[in-house]
Formats: sequence, C-alpha cells, structure tokens
Amino acid sequence: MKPPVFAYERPPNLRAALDALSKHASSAKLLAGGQSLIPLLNVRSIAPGRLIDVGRLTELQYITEDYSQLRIGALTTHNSIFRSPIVAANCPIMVEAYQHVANHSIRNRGTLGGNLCHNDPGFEMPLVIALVGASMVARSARSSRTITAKQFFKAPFATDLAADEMLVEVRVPRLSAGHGYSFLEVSQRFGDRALIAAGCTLTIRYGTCRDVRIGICDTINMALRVATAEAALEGTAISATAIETAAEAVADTITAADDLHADEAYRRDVAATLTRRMLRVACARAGQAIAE
Amino acid sequence: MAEAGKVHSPPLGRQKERPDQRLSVIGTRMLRKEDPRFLVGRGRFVDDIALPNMAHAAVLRSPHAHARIKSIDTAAAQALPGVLAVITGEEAAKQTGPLPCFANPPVEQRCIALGKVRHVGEPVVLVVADTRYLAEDAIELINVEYEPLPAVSDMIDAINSIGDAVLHPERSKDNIAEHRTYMFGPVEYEFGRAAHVIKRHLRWARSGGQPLETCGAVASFDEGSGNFTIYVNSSMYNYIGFTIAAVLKVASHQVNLVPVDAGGSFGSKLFLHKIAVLSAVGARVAGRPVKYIEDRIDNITACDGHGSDRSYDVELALDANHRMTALRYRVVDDYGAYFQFGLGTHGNGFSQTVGPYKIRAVGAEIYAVFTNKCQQGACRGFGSEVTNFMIERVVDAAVEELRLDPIKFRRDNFIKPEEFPYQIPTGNLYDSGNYPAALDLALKMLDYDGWREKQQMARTQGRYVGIGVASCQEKGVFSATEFWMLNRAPGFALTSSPESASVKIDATGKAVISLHAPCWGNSPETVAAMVLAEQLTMDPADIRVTYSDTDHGLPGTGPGGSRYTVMVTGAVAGAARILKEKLKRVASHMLEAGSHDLEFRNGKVGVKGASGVEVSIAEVATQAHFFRLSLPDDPDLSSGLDASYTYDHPLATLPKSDSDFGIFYPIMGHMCHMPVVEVDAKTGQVSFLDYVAVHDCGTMINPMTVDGHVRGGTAQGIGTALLEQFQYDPNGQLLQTSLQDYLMPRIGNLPPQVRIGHVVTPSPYTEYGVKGAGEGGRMVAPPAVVSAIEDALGPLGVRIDTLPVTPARLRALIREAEARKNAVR
Amino acid sequence: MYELDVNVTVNGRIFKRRIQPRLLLSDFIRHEIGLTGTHVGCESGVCGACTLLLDGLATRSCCTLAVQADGRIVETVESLGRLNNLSPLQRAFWEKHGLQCGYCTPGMLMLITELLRENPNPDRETIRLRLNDNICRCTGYEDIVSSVERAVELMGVERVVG
Repeated sequence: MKPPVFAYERPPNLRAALDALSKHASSAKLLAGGQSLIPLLNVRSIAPGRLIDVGRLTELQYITEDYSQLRIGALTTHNSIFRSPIVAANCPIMVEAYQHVANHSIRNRGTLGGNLCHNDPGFEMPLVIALVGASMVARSARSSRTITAKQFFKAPFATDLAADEMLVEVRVPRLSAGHGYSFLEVSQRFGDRALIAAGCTLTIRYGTCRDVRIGICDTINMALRVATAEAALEGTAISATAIETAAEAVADTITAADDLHADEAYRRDVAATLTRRMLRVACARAGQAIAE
Repeated sequence: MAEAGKVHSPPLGRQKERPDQRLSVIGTRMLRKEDPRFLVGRGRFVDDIALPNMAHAAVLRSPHAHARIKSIDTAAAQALPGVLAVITGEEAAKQTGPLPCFANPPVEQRCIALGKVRHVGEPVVLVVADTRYLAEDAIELINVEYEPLPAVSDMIDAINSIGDAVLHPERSKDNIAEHRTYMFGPVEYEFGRAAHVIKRHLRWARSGGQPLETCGAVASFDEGSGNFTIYVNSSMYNYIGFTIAAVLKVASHQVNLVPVDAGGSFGSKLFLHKIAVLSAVGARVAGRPVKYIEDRIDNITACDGHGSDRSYDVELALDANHRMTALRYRVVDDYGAYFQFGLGTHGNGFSQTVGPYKIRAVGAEIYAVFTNKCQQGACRGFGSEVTNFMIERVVDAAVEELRLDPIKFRRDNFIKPEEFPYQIPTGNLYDSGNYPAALDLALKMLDYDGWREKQQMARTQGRYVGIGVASCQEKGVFSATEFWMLNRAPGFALTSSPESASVKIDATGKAVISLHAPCWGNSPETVAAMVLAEQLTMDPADIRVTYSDTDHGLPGTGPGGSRYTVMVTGAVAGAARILKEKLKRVASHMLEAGSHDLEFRNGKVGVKGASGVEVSIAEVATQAHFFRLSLPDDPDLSSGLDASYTYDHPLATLPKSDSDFGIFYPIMGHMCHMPVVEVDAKTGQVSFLDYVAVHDCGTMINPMTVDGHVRGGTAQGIGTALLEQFQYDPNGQLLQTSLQDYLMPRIGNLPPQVRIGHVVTPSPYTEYGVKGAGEGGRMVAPPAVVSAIEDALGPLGVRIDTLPVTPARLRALIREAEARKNAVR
Repeated sequence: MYELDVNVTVNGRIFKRRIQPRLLLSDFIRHEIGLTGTHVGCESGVCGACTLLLDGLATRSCCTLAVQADGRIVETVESLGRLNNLSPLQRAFWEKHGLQCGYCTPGMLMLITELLRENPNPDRETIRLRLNDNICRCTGYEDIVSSVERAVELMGVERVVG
C-alpha cells in the first residue's frame, strides 16, 4: 500500500502556504500531521496532484487565552492540547474527549486543524467543537473569515472551506466556572473508532438548568447538537424525568446509522444510555447530583 | 468401530527419556536464545532480505467475487518506465502447474487466477518493477474486463448452487466440496434411549490468525544452473517443499527454499504455496531477483489462512443420571474458494471430539462448501477449537436446561485419571490426563466460591458479573493421516510426519544445532538448546541454533498442531544419544575406562564415582576431530563429531475404516479456563474482572515460554470470542479489509492478568513426557468467555450461540431477553 | 517523477538522500538507510509495529512521509543498544519474556522509550494505557507490562548507582 505520485512543496510561512494554495487550489491538499491523510494515500483512495506541507508552520502552533476564549492554532498537535493546563482549566470537556481521540502516538503528530478539516464522522473533536460553539478562522491569500461550527461542518468528510482556504485558528469559548460537562464514548477497542459518542455541557443555577448543550456522534452521520434534548432541559428543574426525556430525544435523532460494527437500533439504544449517564455526570460536576 | 474407554493393553511406545528423571536445564525458565537479535532490531524477516539487483512485485487483486476474465490490457503498464514484467494468469499457466492441494479429488488453484476469479482479492496480474511503488503505479494502468458471475456468499445457498454459481464446475456440478457422514460408536442407539436430548444451533464466525507480519518471498532464478532460490516465511519446506518445484515445472532439486524468521503465524504460514510460486515466476520472467511481500490488504483478502466458518446443529444425549452418552452434529463449513487442506480441520476435531468426557458415541454430518471467499487454511486450533466450542456450549446448555451445577456436571462426566490411555469413539487415543485436578486447581486459584459470593452481591447492586467455565482438550502432534483420512479416496496417503535435528560439535567443543523448520516465535532455538544442554550437560551458551534450507534440510514437518516442541525434543534427544555414544567411546580411550563406566557431568565426560577422572567435551571433541590415529583402528569409528536424527511420530497408527481412524493425535493436553466478566448490560461491552487459566501440557521444557503461549493464545481466543470476524456481503465483498475493521485485541480488551496454573500429567509416549502447548489458549477461551457472559446475564436468560459477541449483538440479545421478561409479566 | 533532497539524522548520523516525496518514512528507514529493525504491519496506522521516535515523539513511520523528517532527528530500535551492551529496557524485555516472534518488539521498545523519558517511574495503569497504542499478536501483553516494570527497576538502580 504505497502512495501515488504527487508534487510536494513545503512553504516556509503561512503567507507562502496561502499563496501556494491559491495557485494550486483544485489539485492540492494540505499536509498537517498526515495521520488521516497518509493512510488514505497508502490505499490510494485519494490522489492529490500536490501536497502542501504546512506541518512545520510554528506560527500556527499555539494555545492562548484571552478574556472570553481560547485560541488554538490549527496546527497545534492533539497531545499539546490534551496536556495543556490552559485547556484543562477552560474547556475540560475537550480534555475529557481527547482521551478517546485515536491513541498517544497518533496524537503526537495529528493536529486539531487536520482533524476538523477531515471531518470524519467518527471523530470526536467535531462534536466537541459543535457543543462548545467554537468558531473557526479561515484564511486565503486574499481574505479571512470566521465560521461558526454549524456552518463549518457541512457533510461527512466535507467542510465549508473553499479550495483556496486554510483553517488557521480555532476559537473556543471559555466554559465558566461551575460548568458541568461530560464526554462519553463506547467503542469495541479503547483507542480506536467509536461506535457512538456523546457530550454535554450545562450549568445549574438555583436548581435550574441553563445553557444546556447536548451532542451526539453516531460515527456515520455528522455530529450534531440535539435541540430537542436541550430544550427538554433548558430552564427546567433538573430531574430524572427530564433526563429521560432528553435521552429519548437524542435517540430519536439517530437515523441511517448502520455500519458493519453496529446497527442503528444499537446506536439509538446506546445514545439514550450515554445521554442518561453523561447528564448525571455533568449535573454532579455542576454541583447537583441526580439519583437514578 | 472403536469402543470408547480405557485401553487395557496400551501401546508400549518408544519413550527413551522418562519424565520422572532429575533434570537441571529442562524445566527451568531459561532466557530465550532468540531474543537478542530481535531486541536489537536484527531479526531476519523476509522483507529484510535484500539481494543485489532485486526487483519488487505487486498484485492486481480481483474486485469481483466471481467473474470470468475476458481480457487484460497490460500495454500501458508494460510501457511504464521501471516496470520489468506484467504477468497474467495465462502467462503464468504456461510455466506453472496448479498449486499443491491436500484434498482428494484436488481443487485446482493457480498462483494467478486463470480464466476466472473466485474471490475478491484473488491475484489477477503480477507486476514486477524497480520498486513496490512503481509496481502499484503500473497496476493502476492495467485494464481488466470481467464478466461477472453469480456470487455465492451464503453457506446454505452454496449447498444449492447450480450453473454459473458453481466455482469449480470441472470438479462437481455444485458447490459442495465434500459431504461426509460419520458414525463413531452406537449413535442411534444412545439417542434412542436417551433420558434427555439437548439441542443447540451454533455459529462460529470466520476469523484468522492475522499475524503482524504478512506473508512474503524473495526469489531468484539462476540462468546458469536453472535453479531457484526462494526465501519465504513458510513452514513445511523440508516436508513437502518439493511440490513447489513441481508447480514451477522444474526438478525438485532445482529449488532451494530458504527459511527466515517469521513475525508470527498462528497457522497462517503453514505451507505458503502461492507466495513462493508468485515470486519465483516473477524472477524467472523478469530475469532479476523478485521480492513479493503481501501488504495487509493482500493478506486479509487472499491469504492461505482464514479460519473455520461453521454453522452447527448439535444434539447431546444424556441418560437419567445426567451422564452424557452421545453427541450428534450437522455442520456446514464455508471453505471459501479453494480447498488447500481438504477436510483436515474436521479431522482435527475428531481427535478430541468428545472433549474430556466419557461420551461413547459421536455422529457427524459434514458439509464443506465452496463460496466466493478467501480460502480457509490453518488457524490456531485448526478446527478443533471450534469443536471445543461446540462441546462446551452443549455442556452449558445441558447445565442450563436441566438446572445442574456446571462444575459437578463436568466433574461427573470426566474421563477419570485411572482410565488412561483412553480411546475415544473415533479411534484416537488420549495418552494421559487428570481433568479433575485441573478443575480443582482452577476453582482454587479463582476462589470460585468467593466469586460466587461477590456475584450475588453485585446482583443486588444491579451489576452483571459472571463466572465462566470451560474444560477442553488441547491435542498435540498430528499424524500425517489427518491430511487424507477424511478424503473420499485417500489420494496420496502419506503416513510420515517427522522432525529432524542435526547437531555438530566442533573441535573446540561448541555445538551447532540445525533445525529443519522455521521460527514462528515458538522458541525453537531455546527448546533445542535446552534439550541438548540437558543431554550433554553443556552450557547452553556453548550451543548455537541455526536453520537449514531445503538443500541441506532433513525431513521436518515444522510447527503446527502444537507439535514442534515435542518433536524437536525427540529429534535433539535422538541426535544427542548418538553423540553421547561417540563422546563416550573416544573419552573411554582417552581415560582408559569402559564406556559403560562413564557419565556426563558439568560439560565433561568422566568415570562414575571417580571425581577427578574426566575430560572436557572440548578435549574429547579435539581428539575426535583431529587425532584419528590415536583412536582404535575400527572401521566404524571415523573422525568428526556430528549426528542427525529424524524422530517420527511417537504413536500413530493407520485408519482402519471410516468409523475408526486409528491413533492420529494422541498427545493430549487439557485446559480449564475460568474467566470472571462484568457486562455493561446497557452497552453490551464486556470487561474482565479476573481470569484463571489452568493448563496441562505434560512436562514443560521451559515454563516461561509455555506461559507466554498460554497468555497469547488466550488473548487470541478472547479476540475470537468478542471482536474478530471476516464478513462478506451478499455480493461477496469483504467488509473487513484492514486492521481498522478486523479488530484484534489490544491490551485494553484483555484481563488485567491471566493467572496461570499448571497440572502436569506427562505423556508416556514422548521424550521427557512433553505435550504440545502452542494452540491452547485459543482453543478454550472462546467457550469460557461466552460461558461467563451467559452466567453474568443469567437473570435475564440470555443465550449466546453466535460469535463474535460484539457489543451490538450482545445488546440486541439483552433487549430481546428484557422484552421477553416484560411480556411474561 | 518529482524528487527532492532530504537530510535526516538517524541514530545520530546525518543521511543525505534524493527521494520521491511519496516515500514513506518506514520505507526510507528500512530500505534507503538499511535499518530493518523498524517493521511494517499494516500501513494504516493501526498496529504500531513501525513506531520510531521523530524529534523524540513516538511516531508511526508508515503514516509519515520521509520528507516530514527532513532536517529532523529520528531514533530507531538500533539506537538502543548492541548485543554486548543491551540497554536496561532491552535487558528487561529479555528477562521477562516480553517478546515471542519479535515483530512488534521494536515498535514497543520505541514507544516505551518515549514514555520512560518523560516519566521514569510510571505506574502499571500508565504503562497499560500507553501499551494500548500498539498491537502484539503473540504475547497477550502481560509479559510486556512486566518487562516495562522491570526496566523501570533496572533504570532506577542505574540512576541511584551511576
């Protein structure tokens, strides 16, 4: 399993990379860590005419915080984010989800940007990004724009990026203190592809759920927030009944989710279970444990 | 007919080394001789071989499950710079014959598909180029026109195939490779008078060894001599390697097969016919040495070794005292497109088809069918791991339906320790054993009662904890009769399955052992060195072990069927005996004592009872090599110090009829596994809380390496039980084509510890009483794990009859069970 | 055919080669440089047999292009020790039967080399979590865990004594 022939260049900085992308837009692919791209090249399921290697653009490797958000350079490696105290303090659901992202060796080289741009429906980070309402900063040689999570992820393996655009930064809103969160995943082998994953964040103020976000990743269709589940809890007093309603709402969103590892019935069933479990964990973290 | 029971006049056998002697090397946890080279990254695996001017091959794999090949346009591929040869099936057929086949009548198989493709992944064109990268580029330029034929992907459909759906119309008008019915003992009689009959339908999914290293070969053809040299990570080259020459249409002494280290096999490298021939054909056509290494897709889709793929309907007869009297089954086995090993995987099952129990009659109806899938081959257990599963599942079924105690039921039905050697209804012999002792040790190590209490407590907390039991046989050392005894007409009815060892001691007293079979990770060098060191009281550091190619090879059947340690021990011991005689003879002259007064001690030959009167082996060796005129003028005494020994199967007899196969696999180990699992009933995930594995493999040459096999085999068995399957869709497309989808266990899937216990019942027939231990864990873990899961879900009444028990399958069973319970209320 | 020049430091020595950008790092190390200790199992990033260290980080060389190592530092199993001077990690694997066929072993050794550099005293859970990266088909992993624990012991003694 060897890659097909391609042209290769390694631009020395972001500007040069964007120029190269602009010049070769339709035939080029960006090479970041390569952990998703190179296995695809090895089976020749893609055959880009050119690879533009941006893996060494240190200008896009950073994790900083400002008043309201974390700013993560698109070429920051997964392990850098996973181990970052800044991320742990401000977006702990991201760290919790990172336990499930591939494995240590792949996280050494894989980048957040590469992961999000690949948008494999089995990946965890697109779900986390959708949940926390992060936004993506994309640049081309001529322009720059900020894209919401909803806009960014278009379809499995497809994003809103134009052929000449590059993701340069991910802006993650800081979760305020007192936030409850949970990310759970079921897989047949820890460290490999999920069968299903789910995440949630919420706060509880005076016994009432606020800012409820519930998301599901069925690994076949794109990860999404489940508005009906969120609505079942938003502004309500947290209770076992409310959790049950949310769980059923999440299960109801799952359709067309069969693959060789699990059928749709399984995914619906376990989606409900994960929802029940994660909401309980999140509530406990938010300061209010709910009995079974 | 072979009556089940103790054999009252057992064969004497020819064991020379008794098990109960005092041993100083054998039985120790000697560190392995193989390790240093692997630790420094200098193993010699086939892809490490680099010959001057070597070219590289790749294979165009069939995208269709079943199709006629109408045309192949190779012009663009041939024109690509760096491409040396593009070889179609027709071109290959001009210079090669069909591949060797154990089945009779044989099934024609070619190294490159000829006229028709019969499974996805089958080689259609071989490309040779300067690099593998270029070869794959060239493959993309080849245009093959296919005429699709009906694809057969379901084993039951295969029984009824007609017309264009038939894979081998020249052999039969249907896809039934074989249909045999056997009656061993009074089957009808026992079922007729049974007090209880337990029935189950079971499905054992197709899986495979999938070692981390794929199969490969490097071949060169010497125009000057017309000889081939083929490095290949195969075994059996010193047994039936000559058949490769026949395929290449050269004389058998014109092919030299050279062994390399193998990165695991688990049976899948047992006799690599296709790979060796492909690389040799490439070399002959291209005029340069050619390396062909399967990539993972080549290996998954077109290896020689998918495992058994069976559907069983099984019945167990019991008398009023809950004694199992008879077993009857109908099995359909999906062999895929070819039949390299014939029905051998069912013969294997017949060696231990009653398990450790006193079942006195067995009836078997076997359908072997062809489908458009990769062929089956040898996969750790070679089919008997499936019969073990079948037996323990019906045992568990009897326990469940008759509300019996799983431990007592097994114990009451065991063959008793005083009943060995024991003949089973198929004619095979169990040489020795103590099954109650294994059960008791497992119970004790697990603290079975303690876990039952914890299980009760867990149930009150709504947790599903289960304890599984499986008591299974692990056969060792197959006889060659197994290869043909289930053929309708035997074909080539070979009866030899020997193993050889050659030992030479040089003039400075250092020894080199040549083995005639490869290293699969099964520690052959360590075992051979330990046996020689024991025999000659040598320091193992003074012994090196190497491997003979076929030019220099003696008969060597190789690893497989848990035979190698037993057989190489016999071979080395045999060679050592010859050497000892000569050493004593020369030493007796040097010491002026009678040979019979001499003994080996600490690397010396000395007079018994006279502690200073001795010479070192090195001194004797120098004398033997260089000082002929100082030794007696006896024509039977010559210079030098070397010996070879070919050790034949220690106890095998011919089949007598289709209801008595004679003794063909008598070195019988035994295992008792007790896993403790917890099931997350909401997600179907299974985790391990504890795991005890008790194994009886007779005398252990090296307990450290035995334990390694137990753990590795158990891991593979857990993979078989929970994770691994090859599934083909209705069009014959393989769904698992990479290791991303064919799931092998990672450490996270396994128990934190497999706690190993040993019972030792030496064999009366092998040297030192050694039995096989290589396949073991995989042959008992699947039923043990399934038993534990069912036990965990006992309150729900979940019954498991299909492997693997994936989370999705288990959750579905739980949902159905919950629905049944709710419906009842 | 596109080709370019790379300089890769492998086990302390700089190698200059002219290669195609599509050449995988695994093939570069094995066939261009001739260090065959790094093995290939799947070429899809699943098994980890090809693990080596790139700038000190455990990396799957089958999912890395050789050009990505241009100007970088690669360490392979051959850097750990020699027959007459095995590293504590290698000795520990030998003592504790941490290998059978030896094919996954170099990948395991390099994976653990990274771990022990960042954490010289990992507990069993940490070791098991890290070993989850790589597949072994022979051992069932337990003896590999024991080998790593033994290595920690041997290296601890060396640190105290040396």
